Amino acid sequence: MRRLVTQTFEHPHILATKLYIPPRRPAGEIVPRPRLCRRLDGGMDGDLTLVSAPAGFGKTTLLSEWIADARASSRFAVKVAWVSLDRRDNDLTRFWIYVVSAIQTVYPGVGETALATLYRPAHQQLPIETMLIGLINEIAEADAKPFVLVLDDYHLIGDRQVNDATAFLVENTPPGMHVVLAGRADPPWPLARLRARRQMTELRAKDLRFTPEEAAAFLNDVMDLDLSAAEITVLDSQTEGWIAGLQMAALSMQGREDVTGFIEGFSASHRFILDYLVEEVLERRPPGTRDFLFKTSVLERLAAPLCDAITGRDDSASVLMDLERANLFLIPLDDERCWYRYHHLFGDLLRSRLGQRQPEQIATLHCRASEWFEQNGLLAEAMSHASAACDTDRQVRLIANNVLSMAYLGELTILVPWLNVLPVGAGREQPWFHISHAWVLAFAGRLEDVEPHLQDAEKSLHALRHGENVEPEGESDQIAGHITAIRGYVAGLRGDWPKALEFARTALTLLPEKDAMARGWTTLLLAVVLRAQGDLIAADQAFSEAVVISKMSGHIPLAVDVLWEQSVQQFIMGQLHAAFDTCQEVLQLASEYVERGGRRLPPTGYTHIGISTVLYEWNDLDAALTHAEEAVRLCKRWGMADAIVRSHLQLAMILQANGDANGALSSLQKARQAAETMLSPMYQNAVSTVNAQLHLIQGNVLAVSRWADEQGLSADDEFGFQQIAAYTVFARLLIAQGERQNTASLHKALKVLDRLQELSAPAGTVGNLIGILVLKAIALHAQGKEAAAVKTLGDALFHAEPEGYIRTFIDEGAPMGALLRKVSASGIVPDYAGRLLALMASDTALGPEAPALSQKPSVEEDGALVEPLTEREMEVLRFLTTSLSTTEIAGELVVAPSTVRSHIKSIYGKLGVHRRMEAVMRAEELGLF
Amino acid sequence: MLGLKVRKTPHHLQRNASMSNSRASDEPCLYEIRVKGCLDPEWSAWFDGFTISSCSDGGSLLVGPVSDQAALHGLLAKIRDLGLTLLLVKRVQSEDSP
Repeated sequence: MRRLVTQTFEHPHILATKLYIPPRRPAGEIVPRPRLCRRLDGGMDGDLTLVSAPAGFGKTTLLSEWIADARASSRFAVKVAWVSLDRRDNDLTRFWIYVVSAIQTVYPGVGETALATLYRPAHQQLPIETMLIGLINEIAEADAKPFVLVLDDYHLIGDRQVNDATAFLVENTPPGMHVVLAGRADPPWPLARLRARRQMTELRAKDLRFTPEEAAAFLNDVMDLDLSAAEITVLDSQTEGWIAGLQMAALSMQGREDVTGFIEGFSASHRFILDYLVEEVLERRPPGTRDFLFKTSVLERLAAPLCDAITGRDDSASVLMDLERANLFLIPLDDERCWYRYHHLFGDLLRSRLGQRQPEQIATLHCRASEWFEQNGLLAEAMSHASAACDTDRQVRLIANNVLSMAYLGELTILVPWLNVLPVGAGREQPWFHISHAWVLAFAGRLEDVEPHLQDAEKSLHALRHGENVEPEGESDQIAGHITAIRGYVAGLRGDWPKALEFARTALTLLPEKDAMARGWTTLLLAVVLRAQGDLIAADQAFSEAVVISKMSGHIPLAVDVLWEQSVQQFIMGQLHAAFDTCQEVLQLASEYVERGGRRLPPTGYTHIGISTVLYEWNDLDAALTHAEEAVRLCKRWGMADAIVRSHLQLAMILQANGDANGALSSLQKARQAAETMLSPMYQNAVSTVNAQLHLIQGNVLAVSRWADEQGLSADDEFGFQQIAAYTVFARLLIAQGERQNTASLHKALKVLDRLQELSAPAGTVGNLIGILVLKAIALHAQGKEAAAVKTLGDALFHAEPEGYIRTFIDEGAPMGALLRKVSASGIVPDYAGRLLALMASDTALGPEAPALSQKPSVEEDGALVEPLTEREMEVLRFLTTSLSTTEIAGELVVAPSTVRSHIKSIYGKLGVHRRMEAVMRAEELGLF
Repeated sequence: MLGLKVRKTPHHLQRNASMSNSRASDEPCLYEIRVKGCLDPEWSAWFDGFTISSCSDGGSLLVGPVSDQAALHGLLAKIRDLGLTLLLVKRVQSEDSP
């Protein structure tokens, strides 16, 4: 079975056929044009080649011949990226997604940053020039050259922004890169300047026309006619060397007895050549083929099963093969002969004839095409045919069926234009129109705009229920279910857990079984909210249900997300092994998804955080660090602020455990910056809690007590499940203060810890409970209540042993060592306690005696730098005083962000600092500015 | 799943209210377009209802209303896309003038 869904990896909405370099037709089926190929070769010295001529002059054929010829003769080892443009590419984002994807067919990995930017919603994108500068630099750094980018059918691009951006690329092509534009019209640029600078080669109609010799070769050799020199001269002058005209004439003559009579009639006619010839060409086909040509002319691209579906035939595959063999303007779009298109000119002719003869058929044909594309998962084309059929109901239905799964993948840039072209008040699908809008707005974070759309949806739902039409089984429940689920999501995003919970539960009673995507998604919402509220037992059950439903929905991205959230749940419940296994399943599912042509899924970034957390607990610090760094890399690539926060926090904790205090604080700073962009305050709170914890480990008790004051934390608080992390750090603070002979403080610590235990034990959060019991044991130990301390630690060890907890214990340093020895001696879990003690003994970074990170002074006593900064480093240093990010600095300096990072690293090294602020302060001290 | 970013800049999800701000150049006009070669009158529908007549010199005359400049350019693109040679484009009159 050939693959119909020819889509590239990563980006399911990229049609691979648009990036396909049309192959040269076999020798004998083409007139070789060496003179034109030489001119194209010569053009490689400049930046741009323009192939500009009306339809039917063989522009695309020439370019494919040139490429094949250059490759075969290895005149130059040319790398070619090709984009066949269409009208929809008049969109800055879409155009560049295709161009970058084409470039990636030549240079894999180049333009990853550009693509990540392009897939973000419009308002979050960088200025297009910034993206282009990065892209140009990456191409400049790529090895294999020369590189040719072909943009075919460029005349279809009328959008000013797209044109400006392409002009920018052409004006700034790096050495070794060459752009070829082919089209029916010149691009709207100042071409005179390029001509004057001799940077542009042009091939125009006068160059592309067949010479009489080429016409002879074409008619007699390629089309197998046996014409005299005189007859060829007549045809050549009547068509003026126009290749499409000659091809149509040849098709009209093939198999005809009275060729001379045809030529006389043709040359005497004043009719537009195509009018004259198209009749001849079509008349000579069997009626069935003619009908096939007319009907399939509504398609932008053709595949046999699709043609079967819209014509009602079952032999389209052989019809297509015949048409290709007969030179009937059918162009293959892939090597497997799966997809074809008609030559644009011929397609236009067929469509105009269809419009004249069977105008009533057109909408039906588009409708059938739309259905076929929908069934084959090619939604963009399903939409485009529904729109051509003016079938608004169908368009709304298509959007509604896919809005959740697409919004879920962040494809808002695709959804929004679809919604915007639809007329308001779209018939009986109206509720779905409003629901789709509401989903998009909710996923875009525009919470305040969601409710009006939901109210509109309710109004039209009311009309539907009380209207004359009979509603399909259960439809109004499904609509109400979506409305309620969206309300639950919005409440959840606002942190209103009770409301979110109520909505999610109600939605699940309304949503029908068949809507597995919505049910799976809502069950996940329910589970997450239950977990946030601390009802872990119920959450656990909801997660298990969500796993089943999401897998049933077949929507892998949802299933991956559910599993990832479940792994978090398992971690909190102290099921380290289960959490680890679930994370592995996520990675497995996600990589299978990519292998099947899906996009790389953001939750893989989160999953590395989860794996890192478990590995850290198991004391595999090297592997934990690797996973945390991978998480940071992936999360940054997708620009997911919440995950950037979490991954940096995880990285901070590991760096601290490795004794890299400065690295930990700098990672924390990055988490803080990301948290500031978040809607929910929960992330900023998480950052400040980890910050306090790090300060505590670093012995900065003063900073932590200031934090506790700011947060208004008190031992008498009746805090809730949400604040467990913060109050755990608070309890640590109180213990630290208590260890300095403040017994009241220890008393308070125990009070907080009792409350923490109260919250954790019944909720099933063994993960939290172990940590709390450990702290309690330490506090009791500090109070001198040895027996109670030993018993409490014994409880903790009892819970911890099956899952192999390590760091929760050994991170506590010296007091834990003393306690463990006592526990071990008393015969409670002696093996486990002994193992932990052995680990503590071997780890020099532990305990209060751990050496601080030593800094080698780089500054001589007289204040001069041992190694002075280079000019470029000075430039970067000046930017460090601004608020620009590394990427923004890279944009200003027109270099890659990695280059700026290496400069910064070198600056830090030379100044002997670890942070940006320190660098600026040190530079000021040294008078470097 | 609840980790959304703040959207600071609103983006344009709402359609623009249709605005009535037409100027003279936006008014529908009658245009005359001349191309080389005799075009079959059947093309009329393809060219948005323009009437097509043949001229004695072997060219064709297309006459019809054009709603605005964008529509005119769309029409010219269709002529280009058929590989027709364009000879003349002329605005004849404002449609509503006598």
